[in-house]
Amino acid sequence: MENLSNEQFEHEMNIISNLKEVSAPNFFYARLKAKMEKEAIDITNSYSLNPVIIICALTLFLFINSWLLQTDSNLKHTNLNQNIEALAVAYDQAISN
Amino acid sequence: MIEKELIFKLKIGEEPAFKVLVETYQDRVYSSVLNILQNTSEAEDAAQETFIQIYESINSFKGESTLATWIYRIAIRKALEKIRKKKNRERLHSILPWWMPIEERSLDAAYLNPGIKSEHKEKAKIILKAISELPNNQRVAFTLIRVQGMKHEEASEIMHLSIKAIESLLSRAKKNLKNKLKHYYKS
Repeated sequence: MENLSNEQFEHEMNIISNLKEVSAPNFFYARLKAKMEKEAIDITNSYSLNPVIIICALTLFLFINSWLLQTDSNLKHTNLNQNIEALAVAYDQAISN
Repeated sequence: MIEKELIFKLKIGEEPAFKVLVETYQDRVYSSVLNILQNTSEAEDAAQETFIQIYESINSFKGESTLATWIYRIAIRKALEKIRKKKNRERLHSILPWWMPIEERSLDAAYLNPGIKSEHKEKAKIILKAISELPNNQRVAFTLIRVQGMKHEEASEIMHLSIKAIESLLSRAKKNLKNKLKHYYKS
């Protein structure tokens, strides 16, 4: 630090002190509006591609699928039991005849 | 258009009022973020994001500070977000260079304010690089006060800190800058 005195430091800092205000680039407002419109479109488009939405939709699809399969197999099982019982009844009657 | 009227019109979503706001503050916002970021394209991005944030959150503006102070706060937050994202990108790039290429624009030559005299440009680059290596709070306080020429009171309002805290940040920034610059002056 001894190499840079306070006076020297202040002198060097004057190079970058109180710099004048820089103007924003041309057509700043037009570009800003374009960016805002683009972001609005992106939000609308990205809604359907949102990973959370996709995962939820897939989970729901799997759940409905497994529920349908479960219901179907229960129905088949009940039908099978009923068929066996009907056959047994018919067979019993046939023997007694 | 007076400030209260402008805020009222912004809150009810009047587009011409937003245009007036942008045209009134665009140079101040752009200049502030440019002084912090030292990169024109990043500064334009940050300035645009500032106005988008203002547009989206004008209803949360309670009038506890002036509109200009509130806008400056958002602008500085956006500039710091850019710095953080850039650092994260660079960190990730050092770990996974093939996965996270550095954006070309981050390699742009450092921007220099046109107010800097040509004979001082080399020195200014070194000083500005040293400022960019300061911790964020010191960097912002030093830039607002020394580079932009703001008063301590204004900087304290923008940074939500007491004047004493601002003075302390400035003094630490000076100490750190002296340390960083002494290597340059040695050589």
